Amino acid sequence: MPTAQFENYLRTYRKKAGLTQQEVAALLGCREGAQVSRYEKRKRLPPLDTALACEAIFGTPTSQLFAGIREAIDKDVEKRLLELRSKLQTRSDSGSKGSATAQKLRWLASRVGSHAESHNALSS
Amino acid sequence: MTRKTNHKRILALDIRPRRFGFVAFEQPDQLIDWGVKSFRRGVNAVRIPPRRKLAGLLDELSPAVVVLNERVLRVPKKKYKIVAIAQEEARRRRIAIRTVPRNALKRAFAGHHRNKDEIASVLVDRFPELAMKQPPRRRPWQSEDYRMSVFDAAALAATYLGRGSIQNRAGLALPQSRDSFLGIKYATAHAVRAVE
Repeated sequence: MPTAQFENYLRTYRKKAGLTQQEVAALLGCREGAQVSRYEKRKRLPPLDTALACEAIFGTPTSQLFAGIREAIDKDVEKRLLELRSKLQTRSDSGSKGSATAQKLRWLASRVGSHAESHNALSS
Repeated sequence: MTRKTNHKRILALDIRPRRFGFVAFEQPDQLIDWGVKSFRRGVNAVRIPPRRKLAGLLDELSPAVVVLNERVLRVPKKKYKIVAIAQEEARRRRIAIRTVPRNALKRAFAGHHRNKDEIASVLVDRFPELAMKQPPRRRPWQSEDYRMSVFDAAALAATYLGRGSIQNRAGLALPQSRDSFLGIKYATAHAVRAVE
């Protein structure tokens, strides 16, 4: 059975860069390295500005740095997209509402398909 | 690391009486963590007990397999308490333990197994991120550098993962002798032993 991905790979990228936690903290604009340690140990979730700063520091997309979170979010969103599609499919609107629903369903069909494809591409 | 992995995360431990080196791989070519943890006694004693250090590492990395050197399991338990602790903690978390015998390691690094420095150089060629940890060449009158534990653990992991020849992946122009090329396959298929 494959192992689940880590919530984040900040430690791996930091070590690959040869930086210390204090140095990364200074680059992030934090006061101390302990905050970086908390992010690395998954005790705290970094705010959006810190996540984007990590992307800028390591030159790696946030989705790769926070691969585990991305995977979990992908799954949740996919579930909600399917829920929305089944909800829209049960509707019986007519006129402009009906065409709007049809447009949403078309978009959802492409979205769910592409989502599944991207998910499969990641899995392979 | 960046893609959803189909491989198990493995943690290789090089256990010594006063420290252990560790290396974690997520895929054969994806090194995710490495380092040395000490639990020395005496004047500069480390206050955190080895069990807590090891448990913390296992919790943090949550590997599917722990790889050990076969030699450490042959040492009396009274002498190497840390080995018993490692087995106990892994068992508690239902993590499989695999051992790599010395001859499998030799075969995996055929042509480079003259000494540990050579093996470390091969590993640094393959994983440049380990270069920072590479100790200077040991002189006959010196004791082994503590950082060598990382390379011993990495060698164990590479032997266990054994996908193709280390030398080939390192891009070194070496003759593909039967030993160097098939050694790792042999190590994986026959020599790597399950403890549990």
